[in-house]
Amino acid sequence: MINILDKTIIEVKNLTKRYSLGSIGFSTFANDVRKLFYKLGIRIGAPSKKEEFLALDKISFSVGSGEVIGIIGANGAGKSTLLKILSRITEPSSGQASITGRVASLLEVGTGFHEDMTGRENIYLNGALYGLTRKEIERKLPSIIEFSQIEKFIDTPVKRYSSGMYVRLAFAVAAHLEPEILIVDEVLAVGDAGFQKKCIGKMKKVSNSGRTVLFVSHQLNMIRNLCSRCIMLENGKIKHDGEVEETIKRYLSGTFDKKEINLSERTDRKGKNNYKIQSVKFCGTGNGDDIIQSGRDVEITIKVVSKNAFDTNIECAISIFDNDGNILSDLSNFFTNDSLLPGKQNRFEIICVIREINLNAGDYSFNCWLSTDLELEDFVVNAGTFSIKDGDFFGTGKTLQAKKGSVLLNQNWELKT
Amino acid sequence: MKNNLTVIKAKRSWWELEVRELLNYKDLLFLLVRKDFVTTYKQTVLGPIWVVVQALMGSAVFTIIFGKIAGIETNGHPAFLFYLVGNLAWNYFASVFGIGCNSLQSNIHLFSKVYFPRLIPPIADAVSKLINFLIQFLIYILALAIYHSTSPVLDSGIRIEAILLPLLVLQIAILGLGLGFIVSAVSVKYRDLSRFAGLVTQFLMYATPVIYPISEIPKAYQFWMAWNPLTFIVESFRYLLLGSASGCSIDYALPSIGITVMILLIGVILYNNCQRTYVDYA
Repeated sequence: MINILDKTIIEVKNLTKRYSLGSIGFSTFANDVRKLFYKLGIRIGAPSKKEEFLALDKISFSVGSGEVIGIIGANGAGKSTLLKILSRITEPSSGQASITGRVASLLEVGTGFHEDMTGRENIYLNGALYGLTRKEIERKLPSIIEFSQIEKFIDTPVKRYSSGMYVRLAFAVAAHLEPEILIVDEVLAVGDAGFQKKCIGKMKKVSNSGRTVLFVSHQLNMIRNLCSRCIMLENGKIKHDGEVEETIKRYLSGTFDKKEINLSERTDRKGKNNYKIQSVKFCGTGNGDDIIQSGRDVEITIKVVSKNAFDTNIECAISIFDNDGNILSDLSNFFTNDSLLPGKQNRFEIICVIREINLNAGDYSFNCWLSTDLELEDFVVNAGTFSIKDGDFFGTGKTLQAKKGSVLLNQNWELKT
Repeated sequence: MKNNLTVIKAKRSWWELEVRELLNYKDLLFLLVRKDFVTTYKQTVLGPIWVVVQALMGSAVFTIIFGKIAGIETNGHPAFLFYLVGNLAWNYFASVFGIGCNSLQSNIHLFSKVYFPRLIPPIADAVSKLINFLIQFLIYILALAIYHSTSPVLDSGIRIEAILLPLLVLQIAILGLGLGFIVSAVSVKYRDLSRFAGLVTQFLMYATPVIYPISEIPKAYQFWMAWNPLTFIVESFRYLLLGSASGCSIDYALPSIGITVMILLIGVILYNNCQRTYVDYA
């Protein structure tokens, strides 16, 4: 269900963004020279085709005035590229977007803040960067200062501000830009709870006043809270565009690989292989679907076949790595003293349950290990990957940004005097 | 600015430049200049005195090496005054050229986060470098007064036409930014050129009559010197501020202004073309 309101304010047609891969060096220079000669009609070898990556692949959609649209998608789906193009930070490779009205895009709060300048000076500079005139800023100044709650420090250099004050001031400017179209990228994820609430309130007010908002976030609750329509991007294409709940549901299930990871064909394995790992499957439990979310239980099922079964205890281990290849942890029945006795069975499944998994949303890879009585039976390095979606680990609906780390710790805070 | 239509698409025409948009952001220009004033001398003890020291030192070194040791003729003016004027023009050019060379690169933190006309920050920087120019200008006036009070027969002095000096300063800014834009745009993809720019600056100083008057160059070569737009500028500075007669003829003015305008056009077009996708390379 797409609301088509009376007036289209953003019209995106076949928007495409190509990035060339590989590093820039002598070979690209040589190719550029060849290309130049080619254009001039001198043939000294045809220029080679560059390897390219499509960050956005012929995207089309339109936005009516007053719509609040959430944009979701996995990392690398093209969300940031789309925002960058609509904010005129970079140009598309082909296609076009027509925008009616003034755009303010908040890809960051506090852009251009200079720490040696006072809060007041920074308000002026920041406002001007977003295209306000000095007169407009002057008119809005009292309201900006009030919103930021730092009246007392407004003439202090911002380098003496706490990070909370800094963010409050920066957002206060942003909140007063009053554009026809507001583009927001995750910036609401900063600041304390009270201030966040205020920001959401302000955003709601902005949208209720008939302005159009494009909002990128990993925080699905915030999307639910604010948006009337949601677009899901995947590999540079629009995967789904429509009602919020429906899109979020597709996002959570769509990108998840439900299939078992088949290891039976792998030849790069070590050990005696009397016992062989056939497949490994990660899935979330307890919610009726297979999605793995932070804070929910995860069930790992390892299918094993044996050539000649012994009556022996099996030790099974799975090491988990983050996207950069750093080891995060090692799971094994060695630590838990759980015995795994398959008896004379030739086929069996080993099941490992992780309670309330404390890994952040992201992609992870794992190794898989199987041994008997300290003799290595099967070991597959880089056996596969699994991904974890944002979940409610803290029970507050808040999530940790991926760049802030991959491990979540259960914590309580209190104040003692 | 209200409710106008913006079309974002690939490969707009080469020369498309929104001059009207530039004017819409004039307050940003003003605020950036003020930011430079406010922040440049924060946390330095001597503040603007460094500019004074730099100007005096530069001209003193020239006086000793080129004036006393090498014995280069200075049109009959005191060598120190001669070099002060030369450096006044040259230093402003060199600093603006330096800004131009890094104009895309040094503003990436802004360019990657918010849209505004990309020409604004380098122009603002060039304007705020004027304060150094003014300080050096005052030093020159002071030095001239001191020389006059010690030797009453001194032939050096400021001509009435010196009210035209701002036009020359504008030409320096245009030339420096234009050349800098070319370097900045080309070094977006290949950074080699930005290293090269330092060498070029050095070479250019010796190719410009900063440490010698144009009259010292054999007549046959003076024709070639005219193709360096800075020749006219520096010689005119001496004509206006010292009263030197040489070098400031229409023969120099026309190629100088012509080349400056050409460099500005090439620079702005290249820069404007590069800034559209610059963040993809950064």
